[in-house]
Amino acid sequence: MYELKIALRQVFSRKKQTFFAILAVALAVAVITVMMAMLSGFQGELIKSSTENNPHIVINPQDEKEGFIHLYRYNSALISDKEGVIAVSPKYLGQAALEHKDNAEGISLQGIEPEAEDKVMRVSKDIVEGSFLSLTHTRHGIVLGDKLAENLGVQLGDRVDAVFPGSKTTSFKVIGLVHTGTAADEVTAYARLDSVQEFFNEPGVVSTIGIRVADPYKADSISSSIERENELNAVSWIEANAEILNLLNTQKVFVNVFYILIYGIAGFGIANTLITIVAQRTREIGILKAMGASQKSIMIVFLFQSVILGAIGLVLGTILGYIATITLQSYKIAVPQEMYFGLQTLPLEVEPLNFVYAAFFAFIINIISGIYPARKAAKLDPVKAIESA
Amino acid sequence: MTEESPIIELKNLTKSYKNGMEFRALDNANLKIKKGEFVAIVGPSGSGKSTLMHLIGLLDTPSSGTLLIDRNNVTNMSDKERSEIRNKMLGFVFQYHHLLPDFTALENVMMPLLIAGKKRKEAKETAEKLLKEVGLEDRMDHKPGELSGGQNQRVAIARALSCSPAIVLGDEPTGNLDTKTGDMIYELLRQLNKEYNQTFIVVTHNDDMALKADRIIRLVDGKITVQ
Ligand SMILES: Nc1ncnc2c1ncn2[C@@H]1O[C@H](COP(=O)(O)OP(=O)(O)O)[C@@H](O)[C@H]1O
Ligand SMILES: [Mg+2]
Repeated sequence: MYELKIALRQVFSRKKQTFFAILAVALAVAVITVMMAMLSGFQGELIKSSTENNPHIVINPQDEKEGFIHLYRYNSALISDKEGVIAVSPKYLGQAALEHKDNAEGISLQGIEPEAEDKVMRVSKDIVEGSFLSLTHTRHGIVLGDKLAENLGVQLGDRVDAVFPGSKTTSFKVIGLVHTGTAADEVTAYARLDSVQEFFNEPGVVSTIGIRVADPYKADSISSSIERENELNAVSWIEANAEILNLLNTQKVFVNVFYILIYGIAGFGIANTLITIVAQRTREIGILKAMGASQKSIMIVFLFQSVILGAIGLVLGTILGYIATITLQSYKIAVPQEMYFGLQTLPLEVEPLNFVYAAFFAFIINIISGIYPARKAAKLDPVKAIESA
Repeated sequence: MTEESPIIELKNLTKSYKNGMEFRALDNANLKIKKGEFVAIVGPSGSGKSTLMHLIGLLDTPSSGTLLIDRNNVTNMSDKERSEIRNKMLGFVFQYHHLLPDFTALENVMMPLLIAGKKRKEAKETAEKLLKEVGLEDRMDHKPGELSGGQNQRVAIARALSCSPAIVLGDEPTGNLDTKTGDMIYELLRQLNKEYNQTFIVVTHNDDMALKADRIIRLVDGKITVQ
């Protein structure tokens, strides 16, 4: 393959030129891989936060005014039997007040079945004191948000009184503290579903049913099957986050335009370098033709050069991009919360496939940018080329 | 000598340039050159000597007429076929050596062989043999920038001969050299011609050199005047 030999020799005999062409490709690939890491990280984070500690499907009351789901045991059992459903957690939600000595706080009282709720919402993960699952065998136990406990001045083992107009004041024993890091820690209180129903005098109904499924991406189809077959009002996390997910998709279009621009610039860098090389090598191209190199061979010589520049550029670029991503990850850059849906730091995800994409497209762009200069070289008139200065 | 068919035959070969009015750089040339002949081409500057060499060397295409090389009409061949003939049948020596500057003498001589698809080892052996023949066995790994004009021209001759071409074309191969070196190079060409029975067509301004050729062809204003 003498074409490769000539290409290598020509490409590396001009160090500075070669260096800048490689740099252009490397920077393009690096910038794109970092952007892809941000986008994947952002999307990943969004999906994680929407699916990890939240129900994948929520059943809401059919009749909004009444606000209750009847026959919830029957319906929960039916849903549990569906394929892909891992856990079903019925929940009674009510506003009440908690009193301890002279302190009183308004709370959001959640009546739950501890094991089911833990499977759907992973509450145990956030428990900082006591235990969530102890609720199962503590009829009048209560798990409080840590801020709420602090405001009430209660500790594990203390008793608090739940108060609601028209309800019998009930005493609960604090058996766990939960910390989620959100505002919910100031108002959340968990107790057993049967106790809460009894407290509110609403036996046999719940406010919502939370469902966890094995594959979050199947939530939509399971949700519609529940609506169809069980005639319930089900909303999947995908439906609930449709706006954000749509926004992400729109954003992707813009990001892709941006990628194309970056690759375009790198491509012009390569093309420009090759045009310069062809101009500098005009006489040599003529000589090669005189020695019997065909147009095709000359074309190959210069395509090789663009491939060599591109290949080195994209290898360096992926390494650079990887290092930049890892570095940015370790700096934990803060982002304004209201802009990014509750994310606290810039999420970056090293997704190997992204590197493959970035490198693949860089390679394609390279070959495309090489075609024009290579054709120009191939079509040179040998007599004029040899006689050129 | 038996009447064998010519290795090169020009029939009404014309090369014209049009800028405003037509100008004939080569005008209706008819010429036959036999295998093994050493032909000198002479004529004043601008008379069309280089044009003739470029046409025979398949570096240029005629405006009209036909060119036969080894009885094949090469005027209407594809780039691939013409490249192959350039590679296998033709060797060029230009006024300036025109070596590839990034390659050593040895690599320059190997290049036509590699283009022909020969194995590296074989190409290297042939190139070494030829460089020895032109007296450069101790300069093989030097690049053109590290060699003198005469040495580079000898490398260029070795390169022109590397694929054992039937025809060697020299366009003022000694034009850039001092008289002594020029004579030496010319002698080398003449000697190689006798040794290998290759056909040589050499453009020269030097009458003494021309007189040593088998035949002199004179060009004036694009026309062949003496054969
Ligand atoms: N590309 C061209 N365009 C126009 N005229 C040309 C071109 N190439 C050569 N000529 C003209 O053709 C004539 C013959 O040129 P050339 O063959 O180089 O002469 P020589 O080698 O005998 O000095 C010259 O007058 C030259 O100016
Ligand atoms: Mg000339």
